[in-house]
Amino acid sequence: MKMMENPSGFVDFFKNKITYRFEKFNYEKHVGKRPRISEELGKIKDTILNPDAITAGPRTRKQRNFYKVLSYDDNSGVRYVTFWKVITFRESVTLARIATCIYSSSPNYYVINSKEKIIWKKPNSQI
Amino acid sequence: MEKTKFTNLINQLSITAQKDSWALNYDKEIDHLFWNKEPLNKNVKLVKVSHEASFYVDPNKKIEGVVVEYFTSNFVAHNPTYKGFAKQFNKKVGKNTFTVTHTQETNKYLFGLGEALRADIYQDSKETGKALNFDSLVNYALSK
Repeated sequence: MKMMENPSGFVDFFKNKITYRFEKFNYEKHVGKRPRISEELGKIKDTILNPDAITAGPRTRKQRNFYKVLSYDDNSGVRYVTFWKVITFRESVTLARIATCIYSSSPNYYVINSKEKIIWKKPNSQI
Repeated sequence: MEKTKFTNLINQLSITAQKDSWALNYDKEIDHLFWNKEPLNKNVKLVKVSHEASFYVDPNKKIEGVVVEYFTSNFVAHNPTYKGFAKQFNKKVGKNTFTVTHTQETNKYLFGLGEALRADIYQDSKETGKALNFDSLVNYALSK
């Protein structure tokens, strides 16, 4: 996956024939509240390139949610996972816009919102 | 942290929010509700406690905010009393972000939000058949 500056002044990620665009105003809006986005931009890129799961919706199929598990730990029969979730919206056949990136920890069975439709999941995924 | 302590924490949400002047924002594009202290502690962690609710927790395990996923398309759908609340987000503060003008009615909704979240968390817990150990989850999240 390549990464290069887009017209807004921030980065585009390329996967297959789709450009995943992180617009500057949106990046700045979110990074102000969640500095981890800037610290782990490579992980965000990896979430889109090598996700553990991809879901659609719930309100529109243009919304694609990419999940990447970073680590997990078993505690009293429950598997806790730490993950990135990247929410994107498809603007055209070749362009998708990154809406936000969320870093969170959760029991594995709560990671994917039950309203989202799972369209792909990595075999042996922890979520 | 046993169930009662977690329940108490959720019950205290409205009081904590009032004391710390939490900001209330709704992101229309991703349909998420954010109700949190501003600015958040820089070491705050987000812990997801049900399919739709997450808490911002600081290193002292104090809750600094709440995020509700798919607020209008899910939360309001199964908490119909909040339908009126969703309509109050009419003050634009960003490209896709809206807030409310605080009125007595808004405060009434906010006061009940903790209870509604608690009900949803327990419902999810019941459906999965697994009780949430909040303290253990927070310890795990803070170690990451």
